Amino acid sequence: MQLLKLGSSGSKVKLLKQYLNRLVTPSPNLKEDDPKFDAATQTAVIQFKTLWGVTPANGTVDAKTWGELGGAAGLQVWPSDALETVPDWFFSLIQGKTMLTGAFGFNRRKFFEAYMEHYGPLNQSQFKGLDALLSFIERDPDITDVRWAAYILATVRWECAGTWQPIEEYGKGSGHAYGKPVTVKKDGKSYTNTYYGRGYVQLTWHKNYINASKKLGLGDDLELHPEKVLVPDIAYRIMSYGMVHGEIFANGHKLADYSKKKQMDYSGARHMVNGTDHNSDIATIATQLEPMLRASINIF
Amino acid sequence: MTIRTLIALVAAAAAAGAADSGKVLWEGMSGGYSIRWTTADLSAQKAGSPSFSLKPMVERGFAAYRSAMAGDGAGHCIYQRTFEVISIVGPLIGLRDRYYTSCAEEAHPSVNSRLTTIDLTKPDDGGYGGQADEPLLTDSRHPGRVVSLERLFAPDRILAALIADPVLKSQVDTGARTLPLLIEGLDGEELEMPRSPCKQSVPKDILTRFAIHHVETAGVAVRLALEPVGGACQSSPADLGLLMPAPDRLREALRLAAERKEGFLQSGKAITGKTTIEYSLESRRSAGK
Repeated sequence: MQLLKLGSSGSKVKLLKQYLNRLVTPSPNLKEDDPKFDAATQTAVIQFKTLWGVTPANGTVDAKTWGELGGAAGLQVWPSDALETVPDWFFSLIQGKTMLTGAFGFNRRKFFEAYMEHYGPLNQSQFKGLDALLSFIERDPDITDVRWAAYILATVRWECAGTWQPIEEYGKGSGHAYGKPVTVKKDGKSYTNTYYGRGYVQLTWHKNYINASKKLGLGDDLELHPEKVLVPDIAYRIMSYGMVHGEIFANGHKLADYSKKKQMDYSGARHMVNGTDHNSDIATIATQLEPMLRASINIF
Repeated sequence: MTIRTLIALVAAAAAAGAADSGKVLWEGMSGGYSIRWTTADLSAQKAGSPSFSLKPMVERGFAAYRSAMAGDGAGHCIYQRTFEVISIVGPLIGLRDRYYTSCAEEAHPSVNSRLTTIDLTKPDDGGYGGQADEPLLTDSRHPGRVVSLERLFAPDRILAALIADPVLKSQVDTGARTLPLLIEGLDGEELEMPRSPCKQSVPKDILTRFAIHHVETAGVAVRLALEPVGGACQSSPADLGLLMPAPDRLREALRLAAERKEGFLQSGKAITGKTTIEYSLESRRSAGK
């Protein structure tokens, strides 16, 4: 991982400044849109490390420091969004009941600490997106194996280019056969849409949208309004249904097919989505996420 | 439960043009080779004997893909490679190689691309395409005709050009003292690119993913192909541009290409076009699945 120090520059420095402005008291008021790691940033890093007991308390930011920043941010997330970012499981504990209907509950602080220590910092959108996915998994009665959770998350991290949001394909299929608009007539109305990649599995092709809509009990809603695949809840249901049942996009391949042995076949599991396309990249991510998830499973 | 899968795998070599009957995009001499670029193939002959064609390389790639998809049950699949010639300098042909596969029962197609420089003087004993999971990764033990940048330019010159690149300079530790150390350090980095939401990674065989682009007074402009990170970005590749001192042994070939007396570069009136080679296969599962 890249070491940030005096003289470094780039988007990671801007993100670092956001963390420091919120985690160091009094706030150093660093210019968050300035990508340069200047002397004031260095001083704030030393203050943060001293305050949070990170050793050595010097002015450099390594993987360990990011982990500590993440851990600190997990307790003290951006104040203006504090309520929004408090995870569902925490609310459920406060209310004396559990919202979990699935097999797992994940300790967010433990998970995000481990995640950020390994992969580096998350911006607010990524943090919320990953938190939402953990919540979906917690509520999903079909996800009964933590390795399945790891593979689902690895797929999203890859397919959605690290954004942790159910995004649209960049380029919208331009230059490809699936990038051509399709007109569908229903009840006397015409709907013209392009069925390029959308959602957590980058669902593509007209036929897949029709199948997804039917399997989720949504009639022809996703065919007529493919942008709804960008709604996190719908995107998750498509992914979970497909991978659990081997349908919609998964051509008969199911999560259970790849988890019969002690070691899940993360590489082969890619056949659920797309043959062997980047299967080793995604398998590597799943292998990294699995111990993070295991270590953060809550015992209620 | 035992899963019994019946696979009907029909590898029909439905190549877009079995013989090279495509439209001619460019033809001429370069480096002692007679080169013909058409919409169906790119081929070269020396002294009247065929010495190069894209088709064996594509067939090798398709064979690996077909093997990987056996048992997948993904229905009707298309395997397509599209090539654009960027430059022809002496016996060196710079290409952009686009890889596209799509099956009826998959979530989405697979798209990838790279730059490649082919050396017509080398034997065809490898290259890339033999691995379905990394279809565009150069076989470092058997690079065959695929040229590495180090064969044309001194490693310290390449290192200097890379660490001066604004994208790398602003985002990664460019303190490496040797080229191998820099490349090793770039492994796993996700680079943000100007004017693009898509991050790019640096493939481990990056030094073989290049094409000579054009010449300037200060040297020769070379493009290095990065690899987009993530499914949503698969159709959004990006290149790095390096300006290198022209190597003595290429000076004459570069001059001839720049003047379009032998070969060509990407300067002046563009020479454009695409060679598309496509295969299809059927992969089915039985009802007993």
